[in-house]
Amino acid sequence: MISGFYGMGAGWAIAPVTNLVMATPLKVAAASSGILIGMGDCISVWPYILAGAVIPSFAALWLVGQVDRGIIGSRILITIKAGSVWVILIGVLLFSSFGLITKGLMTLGYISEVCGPVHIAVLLAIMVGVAPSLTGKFPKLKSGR
Amino acid sequence: MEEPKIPLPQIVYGKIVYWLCLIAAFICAIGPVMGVAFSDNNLLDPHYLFFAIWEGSKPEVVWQEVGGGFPGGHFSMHNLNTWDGFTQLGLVIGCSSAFLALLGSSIA
Repeated sequence: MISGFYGMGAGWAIAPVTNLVMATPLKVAAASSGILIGMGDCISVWPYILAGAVIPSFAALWLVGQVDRGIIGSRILITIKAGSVWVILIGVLLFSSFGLITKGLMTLGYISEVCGPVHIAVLLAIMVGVAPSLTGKFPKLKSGR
Repeated sequence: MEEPKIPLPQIVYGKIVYWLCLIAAFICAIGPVMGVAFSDNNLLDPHYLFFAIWEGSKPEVVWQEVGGGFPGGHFSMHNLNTWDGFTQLGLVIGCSSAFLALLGSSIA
């Protein structure tokens, strides 16, 4: 339901939901979300291919990036601590939330368009907050999941 | 601590998806590069293709303007000798990987 709600993908939503609602360990949740997304997307992309909405030379470059970065990411996931995965996930969710909230406020007419440098500044601020978890300088998390 | 034994269908699924995606990525890495290098052997002229995409045209307009119309969903089967068809084959392999892996794991 979460994947369908957010369109194709939404691993950033499936992993925390699986972890928090079904109490699955975080690494298992992250890997499971990859399988679920992979299966779902492989099916749901076919109507686009058959309708001619996929331009081969354009989509191929994305596929190459997706596959090789996916392999690197999954290898990192195996070696990295579960606590670090949590902090990275929080960072991704914060950045996604920022984008959705600003877009929502913009649609409602409360704010004007948020320019690119603001997005970059927010991303950098989140990355600065997340970086200590990767270097091991972040305080230990109490949750063992 | 003893590692849990991974069920065979899971291994089969993982191996099939892994290798099919790698093959697809390899084809998709070669296809566009060769398509630009030998631009005569394409359905869509790469010199106009990216211009048309970034102009914001709809896919059907892009196919019509750059390639003279969409040749059909399975065009890679009939146009494997073109670099577009070859690249599309890579995409098809990548997008079929989960289905083929599921088939393999169900047999295993």
